[in-house]
Amino acid sequence: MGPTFRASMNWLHTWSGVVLGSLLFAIFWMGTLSVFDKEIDRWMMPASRLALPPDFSYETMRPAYLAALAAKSPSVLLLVPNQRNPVITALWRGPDGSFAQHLFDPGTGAELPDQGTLGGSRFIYPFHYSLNLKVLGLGYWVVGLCGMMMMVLCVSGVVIHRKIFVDFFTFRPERKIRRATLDLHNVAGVLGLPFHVVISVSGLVILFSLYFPSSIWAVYRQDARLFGREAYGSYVRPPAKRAADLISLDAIVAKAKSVWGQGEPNYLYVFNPGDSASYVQLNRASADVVSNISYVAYVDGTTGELLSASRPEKPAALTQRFIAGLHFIQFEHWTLRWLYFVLGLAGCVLIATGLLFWVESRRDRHRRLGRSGARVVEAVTVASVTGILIATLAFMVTNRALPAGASVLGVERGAIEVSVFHLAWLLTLLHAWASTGRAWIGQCWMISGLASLAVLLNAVTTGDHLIKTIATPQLWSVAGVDATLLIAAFIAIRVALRLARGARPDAASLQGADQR
Amino acid sequence: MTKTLARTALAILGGYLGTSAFIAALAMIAVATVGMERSEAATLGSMLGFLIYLGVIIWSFAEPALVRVALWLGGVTALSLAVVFLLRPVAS
Repeated sequence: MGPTFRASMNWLHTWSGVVLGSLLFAIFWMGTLSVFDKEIDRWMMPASRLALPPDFSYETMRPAYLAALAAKSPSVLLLVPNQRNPVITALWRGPDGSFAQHLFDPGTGAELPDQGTLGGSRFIYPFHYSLNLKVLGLGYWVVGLCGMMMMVLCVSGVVIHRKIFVDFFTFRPERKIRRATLDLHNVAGVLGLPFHVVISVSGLVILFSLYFPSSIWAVYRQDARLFGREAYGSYVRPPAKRAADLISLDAIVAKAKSVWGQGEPNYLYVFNPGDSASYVQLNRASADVVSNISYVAYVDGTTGELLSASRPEKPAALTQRFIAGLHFIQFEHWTLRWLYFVLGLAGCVLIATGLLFWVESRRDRHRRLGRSGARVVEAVTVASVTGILIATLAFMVTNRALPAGASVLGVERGAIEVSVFHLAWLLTLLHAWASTGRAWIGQCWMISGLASLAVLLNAVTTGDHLIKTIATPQLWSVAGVDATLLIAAFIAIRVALRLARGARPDAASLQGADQR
Repeated sequence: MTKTLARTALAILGGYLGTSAFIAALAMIAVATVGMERSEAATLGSMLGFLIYLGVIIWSFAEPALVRVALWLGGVTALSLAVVFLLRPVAS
C-alpha cells in the first residue's frame, strides 16, 4: 500500500476516511445529540415537561404496572423518574407482541396522553448505535465496523502526523481554505484524540458479546446462556401459573436498598406480573458512579424476599462495566455532560474537515482531468454534514408544527417525523449535487432558518418561550435545547456569510488556474 | 483495484475471523492453565478482541506482501481452531 509504513498508513487514513466518513459523521452527530436525548425528549413531548415531586413514592408506579398487567405482557420495565426524565416510563409488550412505551405522571401516576413521537431517546439514540436498520441486526454491524475503523483512523492519523505538538498551536484560518481545513482537522484530531479513542473503544466494548462472541462460545459451548448468570448474576424463573398480587413497590425498593445501602434504583423490571412467581429486578442508579450497572437485586414480587443480589466484582466484568459506563454517561455531572457534547461536536468537525480536505486537494485536478470523483464526494459530504443537520432540524420542526394526534393519510405523527427526516436528508443530497460549489452556503442558510423556526414554533405551540424556560428550573431542559438551537442558527449564519464572501474570489482564482 | 479489494477483504473479514478464533483459543487456555473463571476469560478475551483486531487491520495494510498476510492469518486461525476443538472446556 506504500513503500514505507507511514506511506501505507497515509493511504489507509485517506481511503478509509473518505469511504466511511459520511457514516462516521452520522454516528458521531447522533451520538453527540444523544448526550442530551432526554432533554430533546422534553422538548418534543411537551406534556412531559413536569416537575419531579419532592417525595416520590414508588407506589405511584402501580397504575403503570396494572396497565401492563391488563395488556397481559410477560414483563414490564418501569423506569424511575429522575431530574432529566421526570416521568414514569413504562415499557411492555402489547397483545400484538410489539414493545410500546407509555408515560405516566410522577405525581399522580395517571397515564399521560400519547406524545406521538419517538423523540430523542427512541429515534436519535438508536440511530447512533444501529442507524435504525433493524434487518438482520445489520445496523449494529455497520456501526461496529465504523467504530473499528475510527480507531484505525486514529492510529493511522497519529502515524502520519510527525509534528503532533506543533499542530496543537497551528490554525491559519486566513490562509487558503485547503490549508485552514487541514489545520482545523489537525487541531480537532490532536486535542480530541483521547476522547475519540476512548469513545470508539467504549462504544464497541458495550456490545462485546455481540461483536466478539467466540470466546464465550469456546468456554461455554452449549450453555452459552449461563454466561449472563455467571458474569452478572442474572436471575430467571418461570411463571407458576397461579394468580397473585404484587406487594407494595415501596417495600420491594426498601428490600433492595437494604442490600446496597444508599442510592435509589433507576428501574424496576417486573417479570411474570400477576403470577405468584413474579419477581422484580432492580438496578442501583449510577448517579454517583461511572459503571452503568453498579448493583443488581432481585426481589420476590409476592413475598418481598431477596432472591439474588450481585455487583460486578470480578475484574474483567468490572472493567467492561466501567468502560461501558464511560460511554453511557448515566452519572449525574452536568459539566462532564456538556464536555461530552462539545467533544462530540469536535469529532464531527474532525470528520467533516477530513472529508473536505480530500475534496479540496483534488477538486482542481479532477476538474482538469474531467473526473467526477471530487464532485461526487463533495455532494455526499455536503449531504452528510449540513444535510443531516437539516434533516434533524426538519424532524424537530415537524414535531412542533403538527399537533400530537395528527395523521396524514393514516400515518401518525411519530412516523411522519421520521419520514420527514429521511425525505429532508435525501433532498439535501439532490441540492448538493445540483448546486456544486454553492451548496454549503444554501444549506447553512437552511440550518439557521430551521433552527430559528423550531425555537419559534416551540414558543408558539407550548407557550414555553426562552425567557420563561430560563426562569423555571423544571424547564431548563427545554431552555437548553432552545438556546443550543439559537447558537446553531447564529453560527450557521456566520458560516454562510463567510463562505459567500469567500466564494467569489475563490471562483475567480480557480478559473485563472484552469486557463493556465 | 482487485488487489486493493483483496487486501481490504483479507483485513476486515480475514482479520475478524482470525481474531475471533484467536480470542476463543486464548479464553480456553486461560481457563485451562491459570484456572481463570470462565465468565472472566470470555469477557477478557472478547475485549482484547477489539485491540487485536485493530492491530491486525493496521498490519494487513502495512505488510507489503499480501501472500504473507494471508498465510499468517490462515495459520493463526487454523492453530487457534485446533486449540479450541482439542482442548476440553472446563466447567467451573
